[in-house]
Amino acid sequence: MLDEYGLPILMVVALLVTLFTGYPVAFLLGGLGIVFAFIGGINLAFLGTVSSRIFGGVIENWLMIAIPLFVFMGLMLEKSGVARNLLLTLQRLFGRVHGGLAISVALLGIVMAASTGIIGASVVMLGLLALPVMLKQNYKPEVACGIIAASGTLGILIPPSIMLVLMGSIMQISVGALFKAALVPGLLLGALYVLYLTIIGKLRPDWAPLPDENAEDVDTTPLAAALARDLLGPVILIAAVLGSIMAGIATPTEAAAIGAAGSMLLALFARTLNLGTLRDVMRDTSRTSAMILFVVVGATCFSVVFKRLGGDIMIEEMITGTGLGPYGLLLLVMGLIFFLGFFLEWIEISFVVLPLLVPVIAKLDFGLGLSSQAILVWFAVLVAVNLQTSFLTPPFGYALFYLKGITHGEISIGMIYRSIIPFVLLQVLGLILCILFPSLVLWLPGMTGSG
Amino acid sequence: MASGEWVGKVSSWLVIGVALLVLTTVLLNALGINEVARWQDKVLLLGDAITINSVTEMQWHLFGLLTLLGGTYALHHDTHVRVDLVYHGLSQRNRAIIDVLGHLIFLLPFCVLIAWLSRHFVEMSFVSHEQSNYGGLTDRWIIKAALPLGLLFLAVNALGQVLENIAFLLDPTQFPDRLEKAHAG
Amino acid sequence: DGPKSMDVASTFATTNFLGAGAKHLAEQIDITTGGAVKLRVHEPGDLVPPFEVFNSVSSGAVDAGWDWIGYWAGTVPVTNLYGALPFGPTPDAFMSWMWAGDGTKLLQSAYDQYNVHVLPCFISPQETGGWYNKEINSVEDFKGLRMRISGLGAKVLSKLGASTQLIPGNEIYLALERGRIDATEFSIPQVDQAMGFNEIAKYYYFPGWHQSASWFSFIVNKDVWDKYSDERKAQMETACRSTLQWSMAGAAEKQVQIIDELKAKGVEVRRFPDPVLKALRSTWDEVRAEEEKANPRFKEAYESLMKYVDLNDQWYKLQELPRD
Ligand code: NA
Ligand code: NA
Repeated sequence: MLDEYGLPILMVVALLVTLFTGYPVAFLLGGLGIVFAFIGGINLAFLGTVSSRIFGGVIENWLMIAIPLFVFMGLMLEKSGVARNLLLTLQRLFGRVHGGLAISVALLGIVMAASTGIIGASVVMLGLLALPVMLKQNYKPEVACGIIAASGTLGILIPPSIMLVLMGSIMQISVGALFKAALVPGLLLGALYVLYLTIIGKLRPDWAPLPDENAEDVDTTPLAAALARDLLGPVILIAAVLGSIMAGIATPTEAAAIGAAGSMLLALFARTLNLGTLRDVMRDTSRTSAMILFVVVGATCFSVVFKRLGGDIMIEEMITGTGLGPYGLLLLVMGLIFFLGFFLEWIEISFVVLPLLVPVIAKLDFGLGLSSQAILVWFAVLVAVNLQTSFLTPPFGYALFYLKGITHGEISIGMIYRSIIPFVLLQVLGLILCILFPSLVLWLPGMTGSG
Repeated sequence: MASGEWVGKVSSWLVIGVALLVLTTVLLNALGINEVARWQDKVLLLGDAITINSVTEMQWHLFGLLTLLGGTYALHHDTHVRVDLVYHGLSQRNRAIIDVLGHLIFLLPFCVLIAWLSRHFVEMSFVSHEQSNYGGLTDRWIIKAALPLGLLFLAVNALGQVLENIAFLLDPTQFPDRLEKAHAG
Repeated sequence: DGPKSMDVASTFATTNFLGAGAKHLAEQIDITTGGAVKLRVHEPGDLVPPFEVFNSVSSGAVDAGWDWIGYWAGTVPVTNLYGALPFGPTPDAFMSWMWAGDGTKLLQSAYDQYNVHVLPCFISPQETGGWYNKEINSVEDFKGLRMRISGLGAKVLSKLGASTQLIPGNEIYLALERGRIDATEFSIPQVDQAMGFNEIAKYYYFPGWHQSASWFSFIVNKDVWDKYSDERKAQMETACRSTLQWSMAGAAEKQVQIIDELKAKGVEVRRFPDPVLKALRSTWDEVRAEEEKANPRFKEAYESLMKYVDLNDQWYKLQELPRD
């Protein structure tokens, strides 16, 4: 294998090594693509695909427009103080419970997940909203970063979700059924996070401290009044974003603009909107969304060269070359997708792996009395839950990069890597539950078979 | 001030433009309006009409510019994501060395080569008068040309950083700011 | 004698009928060339995004592509005629024009300046009239209708007051489900069913007036194509014709079976009332006149096609027998 696939393997190794020099990931990915194209003797004309990929995948990709808009919304809520007040008041709702703030963040993440499916946007927005508040309250940074990254990625699983739509079209299964099927597993992950945070609050209260009661800026307004003051606006905003999608006024992408405009209105009512704030928010938005999108730009060059050098065939052979039974094969595939998730993006994984597996998986008999459509839906959701981890697993996890990008050096990437370990384990637990109990997935779409 | 810096400051206002255009689309759609205006002679980009699809396509035109120019702006503010496990603890001198090498080996070849290879992609769009097939914007070559230009702009600014870093490596005393940062950090 | 293997960027997932054509062509070429030429079919977006396939084949970045011809109308306007011609001929008449008349020659001459060689290898049956959540009882019902549709059909509808717009493929399902749009055209029942539109739309309208037949093709960078010997070229052309035959065989029957399945699931199959179809037809005549004025290549191809179709019709009229 080493002599046949030496170059793609070397490419991954080179990425891992150079990543740790600290040189920006986006340019590293792009540059390594070029360097390996030369080493591998790929003809120059082929690299013309990279311009097309950048144009089609980023510039002309209408779905990406939501990224700057949600980033704008997050920054506007943060810089205007609206977000801080919201979270602090939410936390008071949980009374004097250790971890209450983190649980609020998780809940907010679930709500955002139901309004959008754009990982970059929700991680960045949650990070901007919640991280400063959590750190100020002396939360252990690992707990704070972990819950933000983990609940920010829920958006790709909880419908509406771009990932599920794409999977539906690749696997030729109904998107509606997939949406229904993914809901329970998505909420299950959310519930596992909340459970974990509650346990942390009990066992390690110092990791999730209570707000300082003696602090000067402690809020003495009665809870009801505080709720009315701080919660009403944001609730209306979230309702407007979600509601405009539900009511068919806007697509999820367009709803992001409604959110952006709404956040400006809230800042206006809070009397914190002025030209200076607006200018700062705009500049920050421009840099932050470019930071996210340039990783995509670089990655698109890296991956096309990786595939050209045989990387995709290498993966194909790893899957098809075994003689395992249904559950053995399922576990192998899940393990492989988990592993690929360390290095590749969900789009790449979906396109490379799923088409290879669909014909194989549809024919497997798990002894559950399921139709082949039901098996595919179950399998797709298992893959989707599994792919959640790819956003969180180092070294190449988008959610981690985005979070790192907005912390401006206060938080090291090492700390972020450590922070997500428990959450990745929780996701693996969720995945195992969905494998053991297929009805978690298939009950809602009404596909639980005869057995 | 570096060109990437002030261009970035100006282009950041495109965010507002994108948001306004999206809201306009939502409004036009809610009202069931397709055509906003139509006239006789074709003009650049708009052709002879403004439709809901011109507005929709203009969204990603502005978004594309925002992203391309924002990349250079982020370079100046050093906000591109770094895996800084090691970098974090390095001296200013070593960081400068990494950035010089990185720019020379990775960033510059990537930007220059991809920009160069985009020629055909832009040329073809220009020659064929490529336009929307939904009755939206015409002159697709403009936004296509923005891709290589954006990458070259990034390359020029990165080259500026390379020269600055080399100057710093040769004579650190000329850069009191950086040394202070190093001592403080 | 030409490269032993070609990378083919498909604009459709090979798991659906439209993309499966590329796989079938690959098998046929393997057979006809005795294994001397292999096609490696890539899923959409694997090498380049679907809408960049033509451009990438033209530049030589990718050797070859598998496409729906109408995708390139923004660059090569005459492709609208091959991809989605409103009130056009039936697939078999269109097929005769392509292979026995001037169809392929005219398309190739439009592609010449882009250095692309074209082999039309796949035809899909008439598309449907689309998925609607609003009833169309009179032509007035098109006023303010928000529909996802592109090309010449969109021009017709927008003249009738509809708001025709682009919604990216991935967002159509949601947009229709939530009511951001009232209707969408997509493809043939076989493909539509897999998209799950039956779960979110009430009416499935016929006929697909905006697209009587639609062509899919194998495009090859000309420098690559010209490296092959005449014998190899002929072998690949044979494989292409065989794929075309495969795409036409049983296609109509399959659609009817699927429509029956959809009906059983509660989809209401409707027909546009005749006065509506008449109005669409006369509006199409206006749009066509504008198109012919703006685009001489389109005029030439359209006239050639219609002359051919007319002969075809005359023959079948002479041979007409009572059906029942
Ligand atoms: Na979602
Ligand atoms: Na990862």
